[in-house]
Amino acid sequence: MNFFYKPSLIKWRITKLLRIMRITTLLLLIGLMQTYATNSYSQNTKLSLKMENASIETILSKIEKISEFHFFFRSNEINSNDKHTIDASEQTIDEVLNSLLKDSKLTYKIFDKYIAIVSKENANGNIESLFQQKSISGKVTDQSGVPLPGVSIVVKGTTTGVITDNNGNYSLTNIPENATLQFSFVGMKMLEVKVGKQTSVNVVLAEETIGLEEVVAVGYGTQKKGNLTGSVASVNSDKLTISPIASTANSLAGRLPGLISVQSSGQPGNDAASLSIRGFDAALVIVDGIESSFNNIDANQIESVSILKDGSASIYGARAGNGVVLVTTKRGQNQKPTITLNSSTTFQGVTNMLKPANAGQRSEMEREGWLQSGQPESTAPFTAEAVQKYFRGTDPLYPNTDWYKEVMRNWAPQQQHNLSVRGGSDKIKYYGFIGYMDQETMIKKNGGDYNRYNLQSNIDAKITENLSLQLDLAAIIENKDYSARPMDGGNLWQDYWTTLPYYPANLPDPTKNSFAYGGGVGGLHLSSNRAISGYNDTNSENLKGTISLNYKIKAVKGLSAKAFLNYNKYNSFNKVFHRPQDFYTYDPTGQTYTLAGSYYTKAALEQSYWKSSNMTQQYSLNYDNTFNNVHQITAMALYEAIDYKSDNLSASRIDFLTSAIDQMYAGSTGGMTNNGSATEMGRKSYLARINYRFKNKYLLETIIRADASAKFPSTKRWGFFPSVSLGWIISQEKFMKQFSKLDNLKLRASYGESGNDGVGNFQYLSGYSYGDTYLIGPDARQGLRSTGLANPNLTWERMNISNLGFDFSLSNRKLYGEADVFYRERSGIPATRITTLPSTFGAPLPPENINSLNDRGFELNIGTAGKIGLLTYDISGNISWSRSKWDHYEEPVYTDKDQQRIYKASGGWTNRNWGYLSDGLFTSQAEIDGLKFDQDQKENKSLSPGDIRYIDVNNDKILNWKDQVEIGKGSVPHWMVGFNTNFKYENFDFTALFQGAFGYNSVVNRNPYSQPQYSTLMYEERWTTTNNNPNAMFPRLGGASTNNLFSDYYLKKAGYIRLKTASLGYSLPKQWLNTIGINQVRIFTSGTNLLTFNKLNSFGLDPEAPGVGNYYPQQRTISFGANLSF
Amino acid sequence: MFMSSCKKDVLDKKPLDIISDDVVWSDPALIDAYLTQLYAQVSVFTLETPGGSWDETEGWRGPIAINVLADEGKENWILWKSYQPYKCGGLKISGGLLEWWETPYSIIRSLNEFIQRVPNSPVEESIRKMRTAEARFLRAYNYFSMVKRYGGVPLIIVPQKIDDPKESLYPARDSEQKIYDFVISEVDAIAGDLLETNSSSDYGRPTKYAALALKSRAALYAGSIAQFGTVQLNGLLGIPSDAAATYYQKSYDAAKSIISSGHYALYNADADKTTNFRNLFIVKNNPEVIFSKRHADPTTGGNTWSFDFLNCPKPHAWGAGNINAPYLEMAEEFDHVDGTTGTLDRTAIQQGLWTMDELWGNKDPRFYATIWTMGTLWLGSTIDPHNGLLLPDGTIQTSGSYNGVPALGIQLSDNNFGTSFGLMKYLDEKVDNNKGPNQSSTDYQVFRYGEVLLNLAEAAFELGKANEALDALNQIRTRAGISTITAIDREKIHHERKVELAFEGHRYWDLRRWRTAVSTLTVNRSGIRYILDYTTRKYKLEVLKNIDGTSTPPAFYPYNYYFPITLNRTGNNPNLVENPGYK
Repeated sequence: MNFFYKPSLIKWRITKLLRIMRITTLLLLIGLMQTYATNSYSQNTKLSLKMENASIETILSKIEKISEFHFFFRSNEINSNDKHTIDASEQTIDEVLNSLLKDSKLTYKIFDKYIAIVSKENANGNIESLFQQKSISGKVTDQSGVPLPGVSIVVKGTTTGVITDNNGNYSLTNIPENATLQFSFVGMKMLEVKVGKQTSVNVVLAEETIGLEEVVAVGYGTQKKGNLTGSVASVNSDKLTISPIASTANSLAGRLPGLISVQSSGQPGNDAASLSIRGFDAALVIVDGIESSFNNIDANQIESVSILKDGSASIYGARAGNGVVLVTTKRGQNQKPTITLNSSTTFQGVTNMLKPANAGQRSEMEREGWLQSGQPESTAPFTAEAVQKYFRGTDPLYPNTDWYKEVMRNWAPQQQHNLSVRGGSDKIKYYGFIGYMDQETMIKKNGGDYNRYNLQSNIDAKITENLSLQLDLAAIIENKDYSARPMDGGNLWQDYWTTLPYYPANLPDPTKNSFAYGGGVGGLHLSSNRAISGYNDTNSENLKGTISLNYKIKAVKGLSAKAFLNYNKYNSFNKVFHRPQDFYTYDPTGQTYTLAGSYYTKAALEQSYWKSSNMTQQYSLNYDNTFNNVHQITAMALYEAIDYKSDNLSASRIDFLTSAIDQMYAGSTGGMTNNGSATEMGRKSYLARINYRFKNKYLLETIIRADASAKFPSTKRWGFFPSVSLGWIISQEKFMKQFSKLDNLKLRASYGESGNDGVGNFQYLSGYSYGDTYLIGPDARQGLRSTGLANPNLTWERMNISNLGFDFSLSNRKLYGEADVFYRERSGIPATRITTLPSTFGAPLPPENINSLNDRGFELNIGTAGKIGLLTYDISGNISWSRSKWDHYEEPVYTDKDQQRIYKASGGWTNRNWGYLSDGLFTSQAEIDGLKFDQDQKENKSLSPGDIRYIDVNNDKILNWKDQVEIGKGSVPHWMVGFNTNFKYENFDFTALFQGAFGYNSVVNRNPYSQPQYSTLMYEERWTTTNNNPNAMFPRLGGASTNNLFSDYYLKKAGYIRLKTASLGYSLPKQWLNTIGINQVRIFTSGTNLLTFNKLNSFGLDPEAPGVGNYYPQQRTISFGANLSF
Repeated sequence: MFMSSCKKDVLDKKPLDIISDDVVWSDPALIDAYLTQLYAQVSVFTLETPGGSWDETEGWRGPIAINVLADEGKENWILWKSYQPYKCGGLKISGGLLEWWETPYSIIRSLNEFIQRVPNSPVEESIRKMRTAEARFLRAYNYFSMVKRYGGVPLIIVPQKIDDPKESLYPARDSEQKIYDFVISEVDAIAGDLLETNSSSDYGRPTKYAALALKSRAALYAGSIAQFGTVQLNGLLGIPSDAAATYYQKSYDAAKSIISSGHYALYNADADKTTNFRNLFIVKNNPEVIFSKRHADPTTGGNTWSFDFLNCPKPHAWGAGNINAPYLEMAEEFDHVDGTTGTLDRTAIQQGLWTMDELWGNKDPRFYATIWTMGTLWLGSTIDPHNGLLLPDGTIQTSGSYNGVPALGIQLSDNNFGTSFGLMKYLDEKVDNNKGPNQSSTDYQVFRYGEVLLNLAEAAFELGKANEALDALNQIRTRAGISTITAIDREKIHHERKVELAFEGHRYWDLRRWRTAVSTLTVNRSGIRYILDYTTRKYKLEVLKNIDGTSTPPAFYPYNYYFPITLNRTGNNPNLVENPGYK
């Protein structure tokens, strides 16, 4: 195994060079021998051998073994059916060979230890001609005509080969007649060309999207896709950058079979989809060998993203049980420098979002709800006349403000620009990247933005023939500038619903803020505006440096040693500044202002600083060798240690003298606070991996990893995680040759064990931490809170995963695909016995490794690629399903059969929703009177038409908790689908990705009882006496408290298909560009979330919405941009 | 670069954020901090604040719960209702109302551990005795808080170990009587070890008389439960009626000890009776205070609460306030100074025009100190909740203004004038309510002398000592500034308690122990609407009936006299029997 980036490519090049050198050496030697033909070895060496009925080849091979002679011959000149018997004792080589060849057409020539067996006809010619029959040269380009440097060219069936130079040119000088040349290059389809009589062969290599030669990251290294035995899915950079996307995680949806993604927020800087491999919990993410996040890496600097879904993840041991996401950044290549410039502008708009009702609608609904809840008309918030006036909107006393229009914009801009340079020589290769991204929020006025700078420099240097160096530096600088009122989660979006349309947006006196309630903040127009309410800014830097040395140990062929050191540093500084503000109501008749309230009477500031770092060291030995051309072995042994540390410090002051100064010193020392804390952690691991390949047909991979983590007690620290996987490339078997259309068919099976150590730190120690304060005497005294009982036995969860899969490709990828099925057992999931030990015990029990569950699922990916005339296409689709069941869930032994049915989790699917079954709305009092059971436990007296009618499932004449049944499958999709299309026609390219998710449920309607969201949808779709619709979307406002029950009235089956990304590009014709020295110019337009087919569309929600909560809505984007390379 | 980890093993790490057990128990300061934490966790000190979720802390809406549940007032904010649904929907088997089970058992476990470990700690003997007594006081207070909710609960007085026998880890409920007996006997056992009086360095610690006040209240509850309740669940709930006198006697005795100690007196510092009754709750550590949950100035950081912010009239940072709107019936409960009834003739007041003096003049000064309404002085001006302007042409204008007179007063919260009454008791005019929540620094009086007198009156009356009861009541009335009475009956005692202790978290529990909640808490009560007459500047009145709404009116079922144990808890411990009536 080799640690270099794209090691197999580089390794291949090196070994080819060696082979070429060997031939060259031979020729040189031969030349020397002829010049100084002393032939001393052959004259002095005496041989003894005795063989019966052996072929010439066998005999020659035997001689090579017992002597230092090497034979060269052309196999077609030797008739292996001729059997010879030889009985030599202390004879010279001349004597042996003369006897052996005396009846054949062959003769020999000796150059010291080198002996050529040639036909007698050729024997008189120059000996070099034996090796130098023909020379050939040419140029290799890709489909767009760009020369390809570094392409390997091998004469089929020999070890003769060469690599193209920087201009894609090659020449081979000594190839046999009728040779076939094999051209191969990473990411390109391998091409074979019969030389025939040609002396010049120019070839065009076609791109291979999921080719067998493609190299994928597999953890501490890479593997050719064709040699994979585990279940690994990967996607390359070009797919991730089809449309400019701020958060890289969002570009993966629909691309990787088995990856479940849910994007629940559209907030700039905070909109990353949550990713889950096969429905498991959060996966381990490794970027260039180091555990870190990848959302904030510019997609343009990523080479590929792989996910390890099965036992292949065991290489990461105790952290890998939920799968591993491997991200690899781009590196230099042996080519002339290529400078690439990408630039785009994107417009972001909401996909789907409920809009607040206007003043007329809202006042009508508030009044209606008030009256329908049986409260006196005299206290109703609005008179019927007032409602009419709000609707008319002509009376200045009855304003109607569309706050959505006032505060939100339909298209928020985003820009992305980046520049990279990539190139290198044999000695040094480099990749440099600088990127800038700015994404503004949908708030019209001073709503803040998210911007980011990405820098990367990856350098590979060959210091000596045996020593190479890798030096990587990366920096990510992020600025998240939001309003002081939090945009994530609830607050700002609560304001969205509590800002009332009955108040004007602006007052005649522009210095006065108009009050619009907003649940205390005065209104969304104030709380969303950084200039008015203040800001919440987070600046963070992530600095990463890697240095790695690889040393080839000459003494043992194929052995190398490597040391890898990475330092990863994260700093984050958060500043929340609250500006004071007063808000006023205005009476236009009397032209008077009344102070209605204020938010912060004086400015206040909170600051916090967080720094964390980790240092990773890896030391490894790698071995890679092939024996007898059929046994290929790669092996790795590695030691890893990771050291983690973090510190934070925070402080705050209130009562600023002035809000003009937003610095800490300007606050009052009375009431100031400060706080700080620190953590540390460490890991140590040993791991080994062996890959064995026999005849390129049978593949075996075994992994064992030993992990220790400081978070566990010293006696429970070490865990062992083995895995084994097998592959059988059936298409390589002789008996499959009859199916000539089958390019590839491979069966894969794996079993692996791994863990999840995300179970809390230091649970084995008990103690106390600072708790609350309490006033005794003049002072606030500090309290000490127990951290709970300790569990000295807590350790990681264990996962055992089995996977079975196959890959196939037909007729040069006219049809290709992969399929996998898996079953995983997860045990030792921490749970507290709190559920079984009554709360009278008085202390939370420590987590123990009690729970277990099992997952099952499958993935299927099928595609077709090819060319029709000038149209190149690649179309593929994937589908995956997974679901898990509790094997054991720590819970009480329920005796009541309904408790058992509803609450017992063991043995059931993990994600289920329980609730009541509804049966539409009552439409008449007669229906209520006719109810055969007590629905409200008040003899149905609280019910009226428009209230939800439930089903007394168990027929016990009363509706209570026992009537709950399973009404949903949780909020995370079980089915994911992706449908990918790529087309290229002349200079046009078009890509569209449809992505979908099914098998989950969404809450579509906010509980109208506690916090109604008065939306236009509610106005239009609610039940009223005139809209006496049993299936109205909202029950009667102010209705019975039973409308509050969680039922299938609010929880609906969800599912969607959306056009996740689409892009149309045009590359300017080459002939225009060549004159100005530009290689390629592509202009494009693209978009994300362009179309959504959604079961719940009518509820006004995005299908990935986290219920009808208060959240930043998902965005649809449209981008325009250009890519340049020169 | 190689193996730099050899210097210090990468696994040699420790948690940097916890203090280990042995360090704590060998340092008197940390042992004190251990007990301090347990004080802080008893959130029920302040108006039964349940604690737990953010909405249930002292710094937020927790303290309003107990006062909106009774017949004193309603929860007035429309957009967020926390407790009104319980009041109107009734309490179901899922529970959720004022829950005090998990938290007290966690506090009790720590207290049990404290009581067990402190004797072997390096704490000085005299301090050790007192701290142990404080811990036992806290434990008794918690058991009292539980028994008044759930009836009998498991009595756990030693810290359980995880490998204890199943019977003790899965305890059955002890009887209600046993818990009351425990509370009372603990007070008897520790009273002598507690401080005799507080000094400025230890305000906030319970004294001997705080313990006796607990005993006086708990024994009074036990007495009335014996007298008015029924024994159920084989004695788990209820107390045999023949035990009533014993408990009244204990309550009486405890109250007597407090009174005869001479350390306490009714607060009577201000000549103006209204001012006096308001200051009773504002002035810290006044002679009436027996035990208080103390609060600090907001500039010191922490230990504040939000009582003012929630209940104040405007100005208010959010343009809201007045979360707890007293009912018209509560206002009427306050009699006139001369002792005549405060009940209004509802037909009469809805005719003609009225001045505030005609309506609310000459009332018990405690009325003005407990409730604000139209015309109440506040921050130098008058509170104005008028809802509508009666124009000369007889129409009522409800928005804008007429000749500069606004149609609506400013006391509008959530588009709602509520009952037109607000809560004045405990409001501190010095608090700047434009600053938002967490600005109140008033101490909350857990036990005050006035309650002890009322406990004495009730116990004495039930023990047949009518004269003593009469005397205690008259002490209260005299301090209040209302005429004394000459004859006494149970109803007068209950009435005085309702008025004197209004909105102090007593009424809900009193109605429960007297077993009158079913009749009292199912009545749909009223508010009032003030319509300003433009011409006379008097007010037209409208009585707002059914102010809680008719679709889900206030509900209290007989089984609600005990909270449900809830399915979760009975599910976790099959030995826990659910209270009767919950399905």
